[in-house]
Amino acid sequence: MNEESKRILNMLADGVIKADEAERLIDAMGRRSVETTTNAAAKYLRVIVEDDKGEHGGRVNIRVPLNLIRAGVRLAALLPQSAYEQVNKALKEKGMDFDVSQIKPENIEELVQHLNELSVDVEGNRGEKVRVFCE
Amino acid sequence: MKILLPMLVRFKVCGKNRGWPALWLPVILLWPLVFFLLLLAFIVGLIAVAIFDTRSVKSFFRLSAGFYVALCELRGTKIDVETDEHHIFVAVH
Repeated sequence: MNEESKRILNMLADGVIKADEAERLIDAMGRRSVETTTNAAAKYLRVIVEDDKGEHGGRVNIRVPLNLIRAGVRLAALLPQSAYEQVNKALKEKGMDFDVSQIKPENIEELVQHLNELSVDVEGNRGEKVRVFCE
Repeated sequence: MKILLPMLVRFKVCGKNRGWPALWLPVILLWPLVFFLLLLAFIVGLIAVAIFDTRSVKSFFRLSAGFYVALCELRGTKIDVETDEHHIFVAVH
């Protein structure tokens, strides 16, 4: 029995909450732990772009394994300094003033973990839909 | 972490009104050749690094392992892009 369950039962025993409220709280806790478990097991980053009205005929459906992102960052961390300079220069030419050498594998691990909770759902004026999520 | 290279690649590039079937490429048949080439490149690279810069040997091993892992993790990638004129589909299994 975890701490939160104990607290709910103590509140019920003390008369702070009623039985049906205790049941709702315990159910809500159970749903949250299932969602956390599901999100923690996310394996892929999905990007879906659809045009429901069909005016532009475009559709994009991309699935990238999260482990590929991790492997790519670990690989990038092993590149020599001269390679970083060339990449930074190329990024700057495209208008992105970003230092690639500052990206560390541990930072990306944290980012990937937070990506599990990411969900982007955008609908444009012309009916196009963009969804970015992890599954 | 996956340790096996991709076995199959499904690939399709066609115009909107052309009914081209997807190609199923059994990449697993290329494994012996790929392993041979990787081994050859690894040995040549190791010799070159050992001759020119002994301090980089450890980095070379890690880079080689990282490259191999990245190739293995390609499995599960799927790209499906459709426009008015073209349809591109790539799936790595």
